[in-house]
Amino acid sequence: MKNHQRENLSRRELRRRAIGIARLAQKLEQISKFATNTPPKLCSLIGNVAKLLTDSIEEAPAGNLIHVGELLSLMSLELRFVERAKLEHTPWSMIQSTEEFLKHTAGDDSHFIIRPQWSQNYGLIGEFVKVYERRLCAFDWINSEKIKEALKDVDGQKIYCISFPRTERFNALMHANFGHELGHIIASKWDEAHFEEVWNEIENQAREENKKEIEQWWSSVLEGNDFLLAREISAATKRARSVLDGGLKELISDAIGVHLLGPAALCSAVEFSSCMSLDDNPSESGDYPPWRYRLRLLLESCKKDFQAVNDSERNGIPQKAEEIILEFVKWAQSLGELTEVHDDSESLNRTAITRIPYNHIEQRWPGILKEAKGFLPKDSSYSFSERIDYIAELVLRLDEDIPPCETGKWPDTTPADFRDILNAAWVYKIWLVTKVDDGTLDNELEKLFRLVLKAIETSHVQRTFNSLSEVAYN
Amino acid sequence: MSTLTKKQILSRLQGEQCARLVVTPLLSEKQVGACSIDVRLGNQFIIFRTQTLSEYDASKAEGRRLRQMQERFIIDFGKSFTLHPGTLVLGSTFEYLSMPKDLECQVEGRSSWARVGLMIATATSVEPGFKGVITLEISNVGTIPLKLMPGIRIAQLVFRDADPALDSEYGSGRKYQCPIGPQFSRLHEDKDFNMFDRFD
Repeated sequence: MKNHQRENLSRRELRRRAIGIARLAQKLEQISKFATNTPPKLCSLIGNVAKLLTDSIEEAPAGNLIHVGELLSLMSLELRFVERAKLEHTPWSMIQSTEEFLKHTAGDDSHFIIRPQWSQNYGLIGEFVKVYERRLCAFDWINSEKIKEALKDVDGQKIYCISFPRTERFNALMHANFGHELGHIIASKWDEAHFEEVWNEIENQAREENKKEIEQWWSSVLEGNDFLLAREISAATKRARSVLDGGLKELISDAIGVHLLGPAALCSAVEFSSCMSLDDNPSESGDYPPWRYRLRLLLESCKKDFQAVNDSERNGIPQKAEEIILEFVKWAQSLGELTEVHDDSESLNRTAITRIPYNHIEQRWPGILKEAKGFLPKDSSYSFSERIDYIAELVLRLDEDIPPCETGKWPDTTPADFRDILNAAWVYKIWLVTKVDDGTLDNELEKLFRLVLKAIETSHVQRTFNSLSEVAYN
Repeated sequence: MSTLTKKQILSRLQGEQCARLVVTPLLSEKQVGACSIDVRLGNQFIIFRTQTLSEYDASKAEGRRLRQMQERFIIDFGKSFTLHPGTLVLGSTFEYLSMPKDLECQVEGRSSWARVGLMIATATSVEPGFKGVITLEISNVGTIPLKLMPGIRIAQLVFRDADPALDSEYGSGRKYQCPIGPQFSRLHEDKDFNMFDRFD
């Protein structure tokens, strides 16, 4: 086959694939049912980009066809986010409330697709609009006006995708991890604004300490080979930077999660990490901080709240609710026994690659946290102790097998806050786990998940109804 | 056994602990009528997969087959679906009920809906101590398709005293526990079928 024949074949195939993607996107957008408008929005974006590529493939220089192919492969991969966000795959009753909560923090121009993944993990992907814009702008044979036209429906908007483990679909309590994922958006903003400055503060020290260790450990191998020595030092310093970056991103995301959702975020992190090693060194675990380190910081963030609940007189809280809440606080404080052990520090101190970044995090943490929280809206923090009266009411409803969807006494009721529901659910779950030991716990937990999902949906409908009923009845 | 009037219903809704009737959320006070509470249509539904189902034989129904013969779907609040003449759909109340042990209630269709052909159920009884949403057997026995929307007031609950009050905990050994959506028939769990199998 001659070169021009292969080029023609390539163009024909790319055109066919682009048409296929556009059709698939349109089909998904038109016939699927989603809990919010965000998945169709991404469909429409992908469909428009596919149509643009179809129309412009003939003008693409031969050398760029391979890049068009790469982009089409990515687009078809990204359609899976939409496909998995169909109602039947998601905890649909909490999607609208969750997106509302996420938007409140990330901004009204941000939209979230929530979809399951088979991996036992949560994750944030995106932002898509910016990425598509960048990808298309790199194709200089496409007129910029046409690019603008293809992206006009999502102009100025942001689309993210949050993934959750498929097997935890109905575990609304575990989905408090969404707070952490939202935290990644804030962590990225912090990273962009401050990371270089923080890294610059330790770069030389990291290089020197790494040099010392490499010379000490590898002297017999590297002696006299300055080139190899310099290369090893440079690689280790680069690793230290990556450990600092990865560590800060996770720790900031954790902190934002607990700032937004209170102890519910701590609890979901505790359960999520319960089957993982507590003290893995970041350089051996994808730059993730050791879980013990993370839990220590999370617990530290909640400590004041727990103490405030313990110290308060809790006037007006019924005895049963007080008993359940105090059991929860006792359990949460007992986590201190886990975090007082410093095996994670030993692990981190093993090499300069992790020791230097984490020593610096230790020193700079309060300042970093303050800077990160600066990217949040002013009214975003959640205080467990200040909400304790509401939580007590919701806990009592759960204890009576009633969805914790509203507080107050009918007819003077108020739809429950999304965050109060999650926290009340965790409070009640911890109590259940400590009290139910007759083999019915699994059923009780399933019932708890159902009641919480119903409550989240109901309170959302109730809020919407309340605002609409004023129009309908007046 | 007397039917509760509005005053008694209100008193039960605002009552304390074990005597309290919970219907949550009651979006509007107007839902409480002279002798009943109007309840709204939830957004989860179950239909038979008629295309692949030759018949429903309760004596042979079991787990996998049951899932194959029904289809669940969800309609968002603010959206609607059409119930065609001669079709049955299982829906549920939007409101979640927690019944005290000394009350039982009947679920009745609203006459306004009945007049256009919509039937809710024939005397569904909700027992004392029940907790959950109530499954509604919704059918269109009229001649024209009906547009239904989650959130509309579709049925009414009529409460009566249960005297003496139930003295055991509702739920243990019951077929449906704290449901939050419509429940498919569990007729197949009736032990009677084991008996009929042995008849020659």
